[in-house]
Amino acid sequence: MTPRYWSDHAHSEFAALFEDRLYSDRFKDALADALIRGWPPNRDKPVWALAVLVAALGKTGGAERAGGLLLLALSPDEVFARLAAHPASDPATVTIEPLGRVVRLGAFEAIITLGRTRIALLRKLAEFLLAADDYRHTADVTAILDALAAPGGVDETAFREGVRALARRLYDYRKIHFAEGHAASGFDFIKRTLGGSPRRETSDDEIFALWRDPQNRYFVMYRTALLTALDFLAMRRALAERGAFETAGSVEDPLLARTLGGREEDDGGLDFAALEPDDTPLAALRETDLKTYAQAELDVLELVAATLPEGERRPRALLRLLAFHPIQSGLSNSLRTGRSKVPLEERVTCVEAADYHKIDQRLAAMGERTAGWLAVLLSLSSANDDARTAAVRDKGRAILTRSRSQSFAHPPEVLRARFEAIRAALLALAGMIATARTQIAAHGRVHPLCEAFEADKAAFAAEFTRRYRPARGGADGG
Amino acid sequence: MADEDPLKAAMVDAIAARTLAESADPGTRIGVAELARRAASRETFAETRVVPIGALALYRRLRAITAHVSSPTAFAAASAEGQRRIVDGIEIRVAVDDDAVWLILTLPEGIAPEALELVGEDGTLVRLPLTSPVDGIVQFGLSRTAPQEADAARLIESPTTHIFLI
Repeated sequence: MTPRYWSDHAHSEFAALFEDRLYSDRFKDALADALIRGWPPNRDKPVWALAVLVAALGKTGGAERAGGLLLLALSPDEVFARLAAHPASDPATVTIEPLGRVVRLGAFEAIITLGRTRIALLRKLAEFLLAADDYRHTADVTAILDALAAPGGVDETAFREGVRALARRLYDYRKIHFAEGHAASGFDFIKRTLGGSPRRETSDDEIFALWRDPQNRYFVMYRTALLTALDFLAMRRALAERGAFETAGSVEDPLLARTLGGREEDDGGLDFAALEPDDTPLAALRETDLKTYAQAELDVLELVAATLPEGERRPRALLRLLAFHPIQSGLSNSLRTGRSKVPLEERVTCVEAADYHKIDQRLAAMGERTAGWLAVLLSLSSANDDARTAAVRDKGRAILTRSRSQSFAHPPEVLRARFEAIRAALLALAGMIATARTQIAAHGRVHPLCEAFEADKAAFAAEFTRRYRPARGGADGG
Repeated sequence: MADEDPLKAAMVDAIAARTLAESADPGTRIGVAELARRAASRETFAETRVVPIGALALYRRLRAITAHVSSPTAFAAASAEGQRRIVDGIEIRVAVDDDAVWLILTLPEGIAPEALELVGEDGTLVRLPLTSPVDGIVQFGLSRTAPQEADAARLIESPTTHIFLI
């Protein structure tokens, strides 16, 4: 039995946050990250941002009835629309500045830029604070949110006290529900296995071995083991680079310091403007009304994106993740729910896993689709053709004509604006897919993909059998 | 305890964040979003629901945001035979006889709630569809003995039941 980092209570409370509709794993990860690490360099930034958001909403009217719960009474889209429709410029208290896809909010020198995804994230943060520990602190948290949203405006002292109290709640929650000591030995295990020095490259096989290690009492999911290992490698390198800078007598680079969260800032001077708006490609694609990718495709793309940037040149680790994470995820789901399309004994053998060629083909198909959407965008743009762009434009027109999705049934100018809103996302995605495929192709030249897949399949099957197959008639060996 | 490795604290945080989101089962827990969704909906449901007792105050506040009327308790003069509430010019009267509980709503012009929601002190929640008012009056009775109506009848009878018109 692998010890847990979090109490069962915390796990189920966190899971209950996502019962109202379907959320991506990336979104859940981002929320957990906001709850635990905050937004570097400041752990409390998300709480600040929540306070600014609630205070700004209070300025838009509607809080008379709903108070600080207005954030919960509206969908993230409605929250965004409401803020965008109520610019406010009272530099002494709250400012609301609509900027197209995002809105910039300010309160008492804290400034934050928000899009719909980040609003959804902050709403979930509020939900977590309200429900945490079986709703034991709901009254206190509600009172804080109400004070922040006071239609007459919140004063600076109440604002700061509210932020501090909410941050304190998160701190207390972790103290109650998280096993710090186990995580510390998890870190020791990673360091022991992957080594403390960044001078030697860590191979994909070493990361795989970390998960399979008989000593691994720390990581159940391959996905978690991989992503945590990538966290470790990134931090280890950043630390070494910072060390090198310092030894060379250079000025400390604030970006590197930020990577490690080493710099403390006082409450007064927080500036969130530098924080990028939620413009990760996948967030934009999930936000758009255009039906550009199927859910299953977005899931695959999210797995790829989760490994970036550190895992960009780790094709084998990526292939393992894409082929076998869905199997492990299915295993743990079916153990949890008791429901399974495929019997457990069969599932642990990885019969359902897509082989590496197929995975590459799927990525190719998504790359092709992305190129298609970019062609559609071109076909909707004003004409200024040379022969080459004319061909792309024709392709785009053909895709639009063929498409039967209702989400494309709009006048060209509306459609064009919607595609423009995802242009950056499409370009980023095209780059991400192309890089992944180049890496996979290079890996395949040295390790033929068929053989690589068969070897990995045997290894995963052995691991899954050891971990998940019910013991037959004997005592539990673990 | 001397903690010499500067990566340790950051990595412990990373592990905490990565593992909190690992798949888990919410069990019977109701999250705030689901609570808010139910509180904002007008869909009626036949069976009785229960709001977790800790979340009850939050649910009542959320429900009140979109309700036409929110009446937390009846007047102190409530008796075994009946009770009366007046909120925002709307009168809610309850009359009780041996077999049935009668509810009479007197509505000002222009207000036609679709449903009545009853939230008991113990978190029991019942939603009943309402017919259109006739001359500003909606009236209906619930059997105190029929099993499918007993919960609602019991809630209506109680002066501490929070009544919402939605």
